[in-house]
Amino acid sequence: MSASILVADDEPNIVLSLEFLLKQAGFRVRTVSDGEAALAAIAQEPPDLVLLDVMIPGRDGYAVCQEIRGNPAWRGMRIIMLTAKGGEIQREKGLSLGADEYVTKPFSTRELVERIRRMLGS
Amino acid sequence: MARERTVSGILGALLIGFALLLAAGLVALAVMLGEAATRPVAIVGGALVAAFLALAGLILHRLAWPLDRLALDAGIIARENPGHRLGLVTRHWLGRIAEGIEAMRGRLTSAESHGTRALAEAQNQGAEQKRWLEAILLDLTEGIVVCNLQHQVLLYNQAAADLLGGTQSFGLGRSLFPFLAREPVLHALERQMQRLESGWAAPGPRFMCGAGGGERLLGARLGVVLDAKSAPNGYVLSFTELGEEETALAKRDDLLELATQGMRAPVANLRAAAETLSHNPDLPDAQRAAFQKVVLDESMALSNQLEALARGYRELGGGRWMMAEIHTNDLIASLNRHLMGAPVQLTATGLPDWLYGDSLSLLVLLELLLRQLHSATGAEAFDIAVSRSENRIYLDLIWRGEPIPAQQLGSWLNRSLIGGLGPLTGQAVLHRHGSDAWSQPAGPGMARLRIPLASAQAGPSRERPLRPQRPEFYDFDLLRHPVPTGRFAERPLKQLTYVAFDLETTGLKPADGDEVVSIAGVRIVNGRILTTETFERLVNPGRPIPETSIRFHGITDEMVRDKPPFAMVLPAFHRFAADAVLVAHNAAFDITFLNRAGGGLSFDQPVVDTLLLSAHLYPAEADHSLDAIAARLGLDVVDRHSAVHDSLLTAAILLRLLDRCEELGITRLGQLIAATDMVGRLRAHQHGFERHAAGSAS
Repeated sequence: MSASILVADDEPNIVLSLEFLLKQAGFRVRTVSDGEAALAAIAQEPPDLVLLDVMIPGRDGYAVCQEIRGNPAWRGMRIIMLTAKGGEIQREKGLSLGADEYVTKPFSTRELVERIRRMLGS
Repeated sequence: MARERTVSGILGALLIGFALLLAAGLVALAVMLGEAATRPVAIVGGALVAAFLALAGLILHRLAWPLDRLALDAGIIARENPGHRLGLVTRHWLGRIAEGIEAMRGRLTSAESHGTRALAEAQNQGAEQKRWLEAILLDLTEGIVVCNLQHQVLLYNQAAADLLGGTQSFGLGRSLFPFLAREPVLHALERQMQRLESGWAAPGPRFMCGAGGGERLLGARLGVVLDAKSAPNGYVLSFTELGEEETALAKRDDLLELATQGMRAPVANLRAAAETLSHNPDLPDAQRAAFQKVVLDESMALSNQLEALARGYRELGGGRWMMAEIHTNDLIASLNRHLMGAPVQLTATGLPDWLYGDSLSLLVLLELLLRQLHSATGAEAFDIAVSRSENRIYLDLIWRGEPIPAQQLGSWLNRSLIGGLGPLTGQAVLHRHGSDAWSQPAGPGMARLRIPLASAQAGPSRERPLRPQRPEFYDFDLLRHPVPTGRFAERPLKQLTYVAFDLETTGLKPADGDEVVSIAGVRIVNGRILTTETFERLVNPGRPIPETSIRFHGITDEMVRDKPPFAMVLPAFHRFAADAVLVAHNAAFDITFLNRAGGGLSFDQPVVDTLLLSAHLYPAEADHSLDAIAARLGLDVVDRHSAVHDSLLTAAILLRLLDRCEELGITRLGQLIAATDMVGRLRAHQHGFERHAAGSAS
């Protein structure tokens, strides 16, 4: 079965592109637009990778990331943080809280898909 | 009232009395000589009396009356009118007395008119200066208040009265604090006193201060007023309303955010849609239309943002951050004072450093975080650890327990801070410092809350020249301290307690009578440098300190004149270092002085020499001086003027070298000392050989 990805972002326009491109690349994709919905979707069916926007409504990306890392059952889950916050300190904060990658917007969708492929070994 | 006696009165009475006696004498003579002589006696007597009366009249007219007149005039000149002219008759016998008094009158008149002129000038000058001061104070848009150390207002201007609530309530002699928040002013005063003590006379950095019960936020600056003996006796506060400045800052922030973060999302959307369209020429029509709409919408959004950016840029006013260099030790000391009485114990660890920020807002933020951490986790003992990474200083609050969830931390940071800072939140303070805070694990069972801050690159450290390398000392009787047993032997190296110490001396030759001038040390417990557990004493060496030594340690004869000799200081250091492994760089040098002082004290604990340890761990390196090792390990202690500087550096080097020891399998003190002992012997041998070779060659 193909790897599954959860996209958590409240920007419908980026979600539109990401969903399309990731599906095209052969991944199973679900999308949510706030922190609580992200955690609920993860609990329902843990994805292999979460594309997590930092500034989603409700629980923000940092809180969701910390929650995921605090649950031993989700230890192998990969997390890529997507953010418009481009500061070094925010990047350090994201990585300190357990993100595997920290990608600042705008980014190349092709490179992002490539990176996801590599991370998931597909 | 008694009648005033005059010269003419006294003299007149005397002359009348004498005339009466003369007349009585003549009458008596006429009676004695009989009737025949009456006539001649009467004629002669009458002539005598007439002559006497004429003479008396002359004396009164020329001498007595002028004297009385002179006395009267002198009184008027002295008491009422120095310009009063002498009213003497033209013929008198006073001669030079009158001339003298006339001259004195002239001098007095001119002195008094000079004094009056000078007084008038001084009064004019004073009035002019007062007008100037009033004009300046009135013209200033900054509020100015001068207070004594009891915080009573001694002087203020209209701007101050307006900013602090109108002249109705604000006034001379009143306390400043109902009008201005107490805490920021006291904190600024305390910091300024600290700066004065360490020789900084410049006005302190700006700070924020609430006014009008926290409704208004002011940016203030405080300068201490010194009396004639240079003791503080008051302070001057200048302040402006922060509103406009803060608004400008907020605008600038918004613009920056718009220019950077605000652009990222629309550009990302645009790029993703465009890439999708270009990489997929065969998209079904409906999907193609959807992506085309994204491109169109996002392009419009970008244009609008660009317009807003340009407009904002034009409208942007000036504004300054109120940041200043802060020494972490000062910040932590203030924090400890604030936490007095709170069920929280704070231990400062790491290498003290200079950071760049707003002292009070950081202080209040740290206090809030500690109190919240305590109530959320129940932890009472916290470390506040200072560490540096390139141009960043990390302040870590460390406790035993779990990290704090980001959401909980977020809710703490969104609360309004206390402490006279106006409506500021913790998040705003972090934002203003270009920072953020997060909580993460910090080793087994431990958690930290980390706040990264900018380091003050140009901290007010007083550089001193690098010290010349001391000659290496090899004295195996001194280095052969007991092989560690018991508590020292069994515990892992990082769990031992160490005291890193350093001596400054009059010279490098203890055998030639050189003596200690200062001793400093710091404790290391569980792998943490306890920044506040330090020992610092100046010592009177009992001999002059050579200029060459003063250049390196900065300690002068004057500084040690009233200090105790080393033998009196040593017992306190002995207690400080009890139960700890001693650590020094080129330890044999320092141990020589410790043991030579005697007094029945022995330092028989194990000694670690960081010079020999470095030589053992990095045999390929040639230079093992303190500064060279620090440079290799990327360590820096910024306070070169601090007495504990070299001890702190030695401590930091030890901890880094112990990490390396662990990697190499050296985990117990016995192993470590055996290894350094071997290096010491080799270096001593090589040293002797070189000296021998040099001796043979010469």
